[in-house]
Amino acid sequence: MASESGLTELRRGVLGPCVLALLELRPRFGLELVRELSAADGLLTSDGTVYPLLNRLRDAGLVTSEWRDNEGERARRYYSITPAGEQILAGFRSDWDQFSATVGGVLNHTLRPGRAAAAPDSASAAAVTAPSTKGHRHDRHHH
Amino acid sequence: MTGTIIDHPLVRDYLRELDVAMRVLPAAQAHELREQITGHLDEALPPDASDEEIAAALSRLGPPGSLATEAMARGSGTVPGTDAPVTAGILIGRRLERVRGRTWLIAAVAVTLVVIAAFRTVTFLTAGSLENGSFNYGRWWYAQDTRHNVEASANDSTQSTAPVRSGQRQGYVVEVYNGTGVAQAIIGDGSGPSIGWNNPGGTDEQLAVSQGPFTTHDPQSYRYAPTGVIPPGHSRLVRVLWTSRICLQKGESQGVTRLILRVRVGWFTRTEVIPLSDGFYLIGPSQGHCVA
Repeated sequence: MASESGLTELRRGVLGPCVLALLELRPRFGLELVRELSAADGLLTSDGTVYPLLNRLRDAGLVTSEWRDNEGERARRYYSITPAGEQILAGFRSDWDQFSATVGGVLNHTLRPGRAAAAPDSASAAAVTAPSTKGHRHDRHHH
Repeated sequence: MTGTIIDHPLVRDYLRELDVAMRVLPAAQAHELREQITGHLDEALPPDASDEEIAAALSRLGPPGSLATEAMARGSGTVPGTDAPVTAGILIGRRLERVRGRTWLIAAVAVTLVVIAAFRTVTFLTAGSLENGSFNYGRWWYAQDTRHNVEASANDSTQSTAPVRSGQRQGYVVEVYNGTGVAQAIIGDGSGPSIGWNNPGGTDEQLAVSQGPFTTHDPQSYRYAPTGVIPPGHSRLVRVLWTSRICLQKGESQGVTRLILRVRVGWFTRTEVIPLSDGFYLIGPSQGHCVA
């Protein structure tokens, strides 16, 4: 069973792509993102971490933000995904499918030895922290 | 005047701790994170939230130190979970983070002294002032005052005069425009003994800000709250209501020609005095009990 710190690291690794996936559907404001992510059980350890993450995604050019002043609502800063963010997200989806299948295979003892040799641990780890954008599929997950 | 959730002692303590924890961050980064956290709390909690609700919301946000640490964390050249590179500015910031703590302390003290010395200048350089709306929109709030209003113009200014209704609620509403490049939050009434009042002579003053964009000139159609954020290039209506207590002889009048607000921009809170192109005056005679 994974320790709490291990789970925290896992969450930390996938939170960015999850935020991008939510923004892919439509622009959202900060509290809205926090509520959506909190509703996904176990994904968010603390509400506050979303904001530094949003700022990093924006610094990296994956999201943009703008103030909106919709009628009947308070003024809010909305975040939108950029084309670069969409590309990164598509790459992560592809890598995630492959990575989760690999890990699942090892955990459930269904992975063939030859396959394990072709996918060394270092390569699998790299896929989580810095997935390649090359040759990824453009399949979409359901939200 | 009703305060906001940001004025609650628990929230103030949390934000103070956050400010301390964020001292190691670049100013712009810390400024932005603070704005996001205050906005989050302002919206997540109702104005009358209990201590327990506030404590729970703060707990969900996480310790201030963790937020600052999270803001400093940069991974290894990528955004976590993606392979997006961080920008040159971030890399510079990361190098600055390696500067020894003592050096930071000396730099922080020096910067603080400079900021305090230049406080007013910095505030206006970075934010600028709010102003009475470009259409100089303003009117009495209550229909009976509007019906009996007398307009008089002289020297490019207008005076709206209505009979004082002693012991009753009276008030006005004006457009406030944010012509600056940053969002500004009206957080309350800035009037007081040393600077003057926002009403021509009354008690139980209540100041409120319209919510949502300024799209129609029907002030009654808006929802009002004790505070409100004005995005850059947008307007809000500010409503001032009071119970009239002033003693005025027949033909004698007293009015207000400026609106005094507490305005917050990022970390800075200042008192903003906005000249009104349309002054609001009450004219006597007062009736019943009044206060000289």
